[in-house]
Amino acid sequence: MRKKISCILAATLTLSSVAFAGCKKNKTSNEYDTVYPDRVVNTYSFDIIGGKDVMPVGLYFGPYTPNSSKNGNTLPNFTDEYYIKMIADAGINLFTYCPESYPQARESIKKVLTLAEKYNIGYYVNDYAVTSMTHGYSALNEDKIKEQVAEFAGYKSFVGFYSKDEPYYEQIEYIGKVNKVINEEFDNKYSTYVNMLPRWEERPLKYTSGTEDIEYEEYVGRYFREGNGKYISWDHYVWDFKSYKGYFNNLAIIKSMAEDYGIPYWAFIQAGGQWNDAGIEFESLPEAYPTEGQLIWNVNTSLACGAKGIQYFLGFQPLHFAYAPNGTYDFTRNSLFGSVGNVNEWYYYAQKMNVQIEAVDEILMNAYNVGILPSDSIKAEFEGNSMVIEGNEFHQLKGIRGDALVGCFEYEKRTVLYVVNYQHTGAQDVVLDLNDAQEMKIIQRGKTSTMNTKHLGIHLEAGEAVLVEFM
Amino acid sequence: MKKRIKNGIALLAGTAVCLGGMVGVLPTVTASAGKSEQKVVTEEMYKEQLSKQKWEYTRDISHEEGKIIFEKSKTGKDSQIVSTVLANDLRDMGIDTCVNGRLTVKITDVLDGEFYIAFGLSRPYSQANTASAICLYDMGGEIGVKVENFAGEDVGTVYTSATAYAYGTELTIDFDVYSVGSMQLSVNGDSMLNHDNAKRVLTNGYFGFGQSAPSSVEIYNAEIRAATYDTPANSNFTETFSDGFNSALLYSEGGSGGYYSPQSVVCENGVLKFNNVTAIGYISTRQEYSNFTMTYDIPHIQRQAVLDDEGNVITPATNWMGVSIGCSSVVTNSSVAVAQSLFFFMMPVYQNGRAIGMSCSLLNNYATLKTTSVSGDKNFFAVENGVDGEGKERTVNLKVEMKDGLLQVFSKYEGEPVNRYQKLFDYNLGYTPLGYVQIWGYGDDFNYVQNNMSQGLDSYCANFWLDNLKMENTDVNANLVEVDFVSSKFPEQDDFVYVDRWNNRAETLYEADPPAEKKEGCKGTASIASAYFLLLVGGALMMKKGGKEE
Repeated sequence: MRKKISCILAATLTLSSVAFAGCKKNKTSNEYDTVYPDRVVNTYSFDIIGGKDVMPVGLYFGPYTPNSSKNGNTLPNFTDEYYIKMIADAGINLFTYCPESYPQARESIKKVLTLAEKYNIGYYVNDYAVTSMTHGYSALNEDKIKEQVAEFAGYKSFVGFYSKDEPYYEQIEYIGKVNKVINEEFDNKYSTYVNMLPRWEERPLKYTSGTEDIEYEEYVGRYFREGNGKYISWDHYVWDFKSYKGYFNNLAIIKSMAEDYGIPYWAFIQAGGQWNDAGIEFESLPEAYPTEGQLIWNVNTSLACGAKGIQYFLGFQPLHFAYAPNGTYDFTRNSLFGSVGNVNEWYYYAQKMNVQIEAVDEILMNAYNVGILPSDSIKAEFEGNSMVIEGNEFHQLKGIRGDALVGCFEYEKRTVLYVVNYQHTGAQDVVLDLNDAQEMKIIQRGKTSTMNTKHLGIHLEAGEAVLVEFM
Repeated sequence: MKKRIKNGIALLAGTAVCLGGMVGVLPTVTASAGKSEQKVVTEEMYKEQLSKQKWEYTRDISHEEGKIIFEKSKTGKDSQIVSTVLANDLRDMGIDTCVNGRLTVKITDVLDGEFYIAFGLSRPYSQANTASAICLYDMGGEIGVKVENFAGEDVGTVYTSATAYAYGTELTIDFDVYSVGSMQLSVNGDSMLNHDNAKRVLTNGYFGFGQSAPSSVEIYNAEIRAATYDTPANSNFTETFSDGFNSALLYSEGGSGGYYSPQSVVCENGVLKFNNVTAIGYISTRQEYSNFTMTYDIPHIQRQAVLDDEGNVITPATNWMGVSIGCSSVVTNSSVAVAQSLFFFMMPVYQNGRAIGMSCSLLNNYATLKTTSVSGDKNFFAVENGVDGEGKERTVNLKVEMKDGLLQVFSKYEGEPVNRYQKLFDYNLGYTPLGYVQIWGYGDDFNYVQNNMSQGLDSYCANFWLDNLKMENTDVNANLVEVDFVSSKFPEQDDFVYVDRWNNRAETLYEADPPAEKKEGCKGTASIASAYFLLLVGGALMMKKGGKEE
């Protein structure tokens, strides 16, 4: 009888030791696979948002004063503090592009600069004097660039100038010249915002303004070589085609070249769908819009692949993006805010996502992304992708159960994993199998926990990710 | 409903050409309204390339230096090229001519069969010898001319010319095909067939060229036209702007790019206000119109700039007021002037900040068609004409008529009887454009204003109000349709109601050493508690069993 009781107690104690593993000191990760080469981590950030440890979380199509009307109606003034505060509350800290330019919108831009400063948001000013140079409309004028910087230098929120969205290959030359002046004359204090075209495998794009066609690598390669950018941004809208292979292949090209040229990369995050550049009246297709799980998947997969910044597209819905049949509108089709100022679903999804970013960015901004490890169940989608680490293992990580994409980082001679639920439609349990019991820090939903185990089970909602740092 | 010719709008250059080439008594060819500029074949259609949109043709037809070419060595008996523009029978609209025009044909080698200048084809891809045609054939070593019917009630030869022409001669062929079935034909000025031919040809349909055997033919200087009378489906309506407007009928935009704020076209207090409009500021019909009468009121015109206490301009005096007709799109592009094919505008002429004169102009994309000056009481931009005896601003009533190719613009002041409408402008276009009708404003943009300021000059933007816009379709057999009301006002849009559906129980998120085959979500401590429970129950059972043993 005593023996049996002893057995039960022993088992109970064993279970307790597992349950409260944090109390037990196991071998540290440094005792396993201790080869952590010296790495250079490429990042770029801004003082106004907190400096190098804070990840830029941008908004494309930021606040502006609508100075137009449609069908006898005017739009709200999106420079009201209400909107700026809402944006800050959502964890967004950068305006990459706002659809009004200096000097026409002088007062409006200065108002936004002031409010952005109040809420610690960086602002790339859209100044015609500069964009006329980056677009190639006027010749490079160094004095003019200095003059325009001086115009805004008094605002802490001023981080540089919007330069060009989706430039053609030929225009990179102009962008590069302006960036060179800004880099050299202001001791790298400012930069310009350029967003490059994506690479669609489903619908090849043309990267030159002429008839000559070039490969994507040559297109972005020119930006790396001659663009003099501090980072590279590109806008691959994954939910437009739902081709994950193409999405990750585009990421792989950017990652590989960015590392070669020593700059970080910022991903685009799709907030809604049915972009309507042509201003056509069409029926809405809600199934084309990313869900909460899909938006979060979009962000987390980008981070797992080493992105050091993200941008939500769009902030404020251009009115023509809302056009629906027979002169009606759909203000809920895309953007964090609809054209009439309504708050759309993606605002809340971004807000939720950004809680996690705020918690993990200090690590991710300073961690070197070695590559990714997809679990066996999803490996087919990554066939031939250069980001995938060979051998299915990464330091302490020996196996992945469930559909998961694991971003593999090295951070201050330690292993960091960014584990993403690859399922964007539903929750899932993922298990990480390690080489031995490990003491680890886990950051999920902005909260930090510790654990000590050899097999870590994690419950992840659709597209959700958790950061695991081995101590 | 047949209408006789009124304004001499008629068919066109082709008819005039034909008149020059005809000998003998001409029939009374009438054409009245509508858009009579339907081009079946123009030089542009073959000068640079043979467009698949504009032609149906066999691949062996080529083009070179502004010529359509049939090469004997490359073509066959079925080779042909047919315009995709349909020629209609519009006698109900008072248009008798179906298709007509002029072309030059040069045949450089002996014809082994017939070369067809075909018309009345039922399809663009119909064989060229399946309707009616002017046929060129070898007549004793020269080129003979005849007209053949290949189908219809009068199958057979309609006409055979006794005149023949040497190979290599340029044959200039003028023809008119009337919807009644008669036709006129002349070759190099030699009249061959007039309106009184006994056999009737097939008329309405497609036009083109074909052959019954390989031939060496060049076609050039071709200008073939057909008439049409547009009766677009649209609505008669009056819009009072009392609560927005019916956006099923109207569309409006007010754009940016200016110096002064706000820049908008907005519905306020029962009127449509044009505020500081520069390049984009208009209201457009959402239906196309052909012949129409449009009236509207202008209850306010900013005749002088509004200044602040320091003399700075807050609101500039108004600039252009325009009307575009025949617009190809409801939505204009970045500039009204570029976007529209035909636009009329009224412009104040300022001196020392006061409108002392007024001009009216009609332009198309290529040229100013006409400009007139307006003076006296009709100059409604003049400050002194803007108020009544009691100092109250006078509303201007404007009327724009587009009828049978004639554009006329009239004005009067509110309170005056209808017969007091005074003509501001007229111009005979010769055809009635088909398209959307737009009322717009235009003014100095940001850079222009800045430049003016630096030189001490005044700037102007469109600043006026609009009310009681009435459109009336005046087409023959007007195709009127009713549309449901759609409010132009932006609908109210609630914020998204977010419900967090994530499992937020922190204790369930992580689990150490989960079972090897996990199917369900992690239960965390719950799982561990279950394990405890099972262990304890198992232990208890063991103890119970053991007790029995003991």
